[in-house]
Amino acid sequence: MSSTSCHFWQKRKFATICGTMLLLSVFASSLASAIEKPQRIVSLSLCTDELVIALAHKERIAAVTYLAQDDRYSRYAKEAKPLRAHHNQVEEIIGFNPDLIVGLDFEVGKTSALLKRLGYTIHQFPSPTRLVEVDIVLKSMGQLLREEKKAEQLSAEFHEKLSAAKRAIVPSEKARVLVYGPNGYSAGSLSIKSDLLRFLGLRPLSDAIGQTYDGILPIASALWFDPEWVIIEKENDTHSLAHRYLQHPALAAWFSRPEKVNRQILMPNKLWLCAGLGLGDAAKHLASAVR
Amino acid sequence: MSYSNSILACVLSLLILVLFIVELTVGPVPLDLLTLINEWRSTESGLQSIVFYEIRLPRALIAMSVGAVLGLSGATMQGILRNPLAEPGVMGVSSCAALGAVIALYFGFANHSWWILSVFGVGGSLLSVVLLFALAGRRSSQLSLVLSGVALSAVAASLIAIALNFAPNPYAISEIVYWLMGSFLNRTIDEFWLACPLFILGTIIIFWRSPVLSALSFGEETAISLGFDVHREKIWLIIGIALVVGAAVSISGAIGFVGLVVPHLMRPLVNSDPRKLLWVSALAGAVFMLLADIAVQLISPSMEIKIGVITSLVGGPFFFFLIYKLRSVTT
Repeated sequence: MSSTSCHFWQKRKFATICGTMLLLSVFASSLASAIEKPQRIVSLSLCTDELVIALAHKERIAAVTYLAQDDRYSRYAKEAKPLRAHHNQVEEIIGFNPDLIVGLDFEVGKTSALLKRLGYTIHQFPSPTRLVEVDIVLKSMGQLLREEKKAEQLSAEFHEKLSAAKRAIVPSEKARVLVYGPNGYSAGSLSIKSDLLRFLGLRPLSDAIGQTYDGILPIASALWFDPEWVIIEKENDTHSLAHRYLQHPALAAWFSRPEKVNRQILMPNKLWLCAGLGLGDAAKHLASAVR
Repeated sequence: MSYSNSILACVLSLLILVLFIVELTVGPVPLDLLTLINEWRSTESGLQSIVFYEIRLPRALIAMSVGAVLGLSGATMQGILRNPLAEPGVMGVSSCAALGAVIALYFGFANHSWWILSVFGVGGSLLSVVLLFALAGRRSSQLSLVLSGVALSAVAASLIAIALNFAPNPYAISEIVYWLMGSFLNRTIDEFWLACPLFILGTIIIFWRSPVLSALSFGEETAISLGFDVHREKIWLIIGIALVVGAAVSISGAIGFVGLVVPHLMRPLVNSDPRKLLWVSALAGAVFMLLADIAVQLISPSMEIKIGVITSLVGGPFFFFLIYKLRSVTT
């Protein structure tokens, strides 16, 4: 065998070894990442339920909250129906033998404290108060669930929806908008709802009246500040005093005035109950109403 | 009506009028009389007229009428039971009416028709009086009657909590305070019109059958010897109480102690005449409730406290005082 052919066979052998090693390393890394991916995720809050359902395959979700299955509050009720649900009881949660527990930092309270005491790690996320923070939370959740690409894709869709809604709203329509919910609860300046309105080129009434945080605004006061638009947070349930409040004759009389006719926007509460991806749909809904 | 009674009626009526006007002026939006008149003349409803007709006026009318019927029912209960501690709140009648209203509202029955909420409220209060008599017995002592009332009230409160817990609405549980402490916030004129016929009917029944109360003040045997069918008369009066308390609780929640404090304060002014005490208590009840509601709106305008907090703050110590007085009489 000549030295040239020997050299050729040596090179070929090296290439084969390198290729095999490369294939093995790719296989090993994908195997490792598959193993590292949490497989029994439990979510403790409605808002993290939505993120988990949006990002992870259903086989990997051990349980979500019962609210996730309620069509009145959850955008993913249909997807959540086949999943197991819990009522934030520690016994229920540890029964799922979770390898990852996620929740919003202000919602989980005593459940979280007891779970931590039992040695479970809970990944708590802040509730966004600005639109930019929605992205941060989404991507953090994506990393935690090893679904970075899906998170990027959802983020892009979310921004596309926001931009489309912004383009659809006439720039001159700098109207003062009141966000009004059950019990007369209205959104404050620091809420994400107000941030969304500002992004869309509208003016939250809370900015004009100096209401920093969410709180109760009596009907008389709400009408006194004369909002141009009123977003009524709607739920398909009126079996409570809180919901009856939104059917008060004073509001009906207000909207019957010629200049206020069609100035009421019914917003399905589930679209923006969580400061998350639903805000894109809420923006779309607002744009179609204001236009 | 004697001269002193006429003066008393005039004074109380005048107080009601003044407090009613004050109540109409209290609220987050300043009302301007001239603007209000101008808006009233025009066909289009402005902010001032909306606030006045849809928010302030219903609230004042409901506060006044609920106060009146609670005062009246307290005086009636004390007359029937010949017990100075009897009143709808202490005896559990209000709580049972609230339980009826809670079931009607949170489980969707009230959405079927406008009268269902009141019917459930009246049903609850009627049931409570029947249970009260069954528990305490017809010839019950003051103590056993009060204890039965306390037990009934506690059971009704816990049943309200259970009902609200199982209600298919996450807001329900937070509204338990409203049903147990009462409020006139954001009531509507429709609710007033809904309760009004029951208030009138119940009041007519109570005054129609009130002669028995005078006879009962001398004892049940005396009343029977005077020709009264005491059992039948009591049933009529109970129906009257159930109608007014049930309707009141359906639109404002359970407000305690009004029926206890008011008749006691008024009794010396009518020389303990049970029949005269009825109308005086009704008028004074309206005064008391209007005062309490004005206080509620002034103390914390942005986050109103429940009206039952005020009435309990006045009524609680008064209840202790009465128990102390009763104890000193019996020992």
